[in-house]
Amino acid sequence: MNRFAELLDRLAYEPGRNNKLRLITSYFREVGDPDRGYALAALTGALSFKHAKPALIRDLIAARTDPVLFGLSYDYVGDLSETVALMWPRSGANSDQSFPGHPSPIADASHRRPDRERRPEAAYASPARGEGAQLRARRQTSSTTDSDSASDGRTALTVPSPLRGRVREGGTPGEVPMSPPTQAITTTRLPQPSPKSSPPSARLARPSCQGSSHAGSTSSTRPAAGHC
Amino acid sequence: MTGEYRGTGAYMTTMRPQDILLPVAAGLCCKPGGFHIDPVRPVERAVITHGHSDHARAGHGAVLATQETLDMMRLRYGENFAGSTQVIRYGEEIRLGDVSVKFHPAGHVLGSAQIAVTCKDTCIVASGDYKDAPDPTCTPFELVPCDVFITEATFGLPVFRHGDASDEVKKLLASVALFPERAHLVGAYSLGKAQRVIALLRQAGYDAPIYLHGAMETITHYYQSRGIELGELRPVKGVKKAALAGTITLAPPSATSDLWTRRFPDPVTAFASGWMRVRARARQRGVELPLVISDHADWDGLTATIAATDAGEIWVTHGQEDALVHWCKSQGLRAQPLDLIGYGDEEESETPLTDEAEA
Repeated sequence: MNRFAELLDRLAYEPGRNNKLRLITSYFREVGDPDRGYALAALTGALSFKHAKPALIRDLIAARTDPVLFGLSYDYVGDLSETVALMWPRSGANSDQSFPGHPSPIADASHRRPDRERRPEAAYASPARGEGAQLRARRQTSSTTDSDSASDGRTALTVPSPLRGRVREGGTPGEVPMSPPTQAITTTRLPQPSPKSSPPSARLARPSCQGSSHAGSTSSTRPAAGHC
Repeated sequence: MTGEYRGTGAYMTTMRPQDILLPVAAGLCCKPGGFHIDPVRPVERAVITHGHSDHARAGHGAVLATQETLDMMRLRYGENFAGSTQVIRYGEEIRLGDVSVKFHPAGHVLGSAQIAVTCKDTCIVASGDYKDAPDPTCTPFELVPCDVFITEATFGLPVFRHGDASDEVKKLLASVALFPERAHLVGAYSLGKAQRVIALLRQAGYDAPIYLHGAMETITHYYQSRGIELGELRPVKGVKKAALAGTITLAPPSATSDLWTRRFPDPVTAFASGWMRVRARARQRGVELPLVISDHADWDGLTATIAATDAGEIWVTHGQEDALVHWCKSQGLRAQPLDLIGYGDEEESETPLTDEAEA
């Protein structure tokens, strides 16, 4: 999804309508499925990222960075999601590994999931990619009772907030507006499910790869996402 | 390297670092050595880190710098830019008054140096501007262990992380391929950045002629004369508009938002700078293709370098001092901002030169 991130960046800066169309056309010609399906959904506002609320994002970054440095950076950049995306700690090992080799979180998940369910928790305690982390989180929340998440509220970061967000906000759509798409995508990079898991790609030039993987995995139950 | 001075210093009390180097109005002053480092006002004796116009100014009595820095000052200010000059090589040590001065590569631009000032047992390194990232156009940064490290903080916020410059150049080339009927105009500082972008384009396999704004020519040709391979370069002046379709032109950043751009067919405005990491900065300038290519260390580079020098005390100057000072303190280092006025973007002091050159 780095290519999609690049597209969004170019679109955000390009003033000319025809040039924007050229950029979009070239993207859809060049990129295969299912990436361009997600891209189309994102561009047309069909993806919603209801868990990425400012308070959650603040909590996540607070757990990872020095508050003074965050404050100075936020003052400078002026945009919460952009600041957080730029400051997000790089993972050591997979810092340059993105998703080009694994463009399909859904296909990926479908063949990995049974496998992972069988493996002991520790075997994927620190998955390199968000999808595994989220899966693990889902199992954690279902095994522990909801009481702990209810008691410590959203500041507890040991259990990933996106899931609890989903439980708590179940009925409300809570759409993150999709325009401009760039910001929304940047934002969705943020709900890193588990502090233990390293972000798959913290290379800043491609802020959206993380987010799109989440978009893919959280929406994996939706039929539309994989088949556009 | 300092055995000689360590010997004589044994009977004297240890000097405080601020007795050796002290910020004054003219710049960083070394009283025991009788010189200033990168003075912003004319002084009797100046020791200069690199050729950018906010560090290397004309009008000093005597100037000590690397050959390249002196040459660039000569090209920019004319033959009489200083009363006298003295060349120093990387690794060479010179005694000035009660201190010894040694130059080390800073990896910033061609000829850029860190200056190690040693007085008795205390070694202070004034790094000038530096970067620890690879650059085909200059000698790589050398780590100099010291007691006090004076660091710049141009990109001293954790949001500034530059990434790989060659990836940015690939973005530029992809855009050239996608819009063959448009000209690509790349804003880049004329000393260092422009040449690095050209060298990176060549490394990426781009072998078409690259066009230059008039203000770029002198320094770029100087780089070539020092053996830096930049391929075929052409002046953009006098080239027909239609002939510039699908080409890349390098220009000073100020020119890319100028009437001058009307000579290009539907130009895509790119800007090569570390500031392009932040969207608001790119939008402010009306940049369509931001390229995060910097000749300064990014946040990770600054913090890694500070830690690696093993210095117990850090002085932070020009840039985002607060954040870097805070970081140093959180690492248990003594740190303070150095209030030096007159340093910043080279571009700001460069603008008049640009206009002259083009007009």
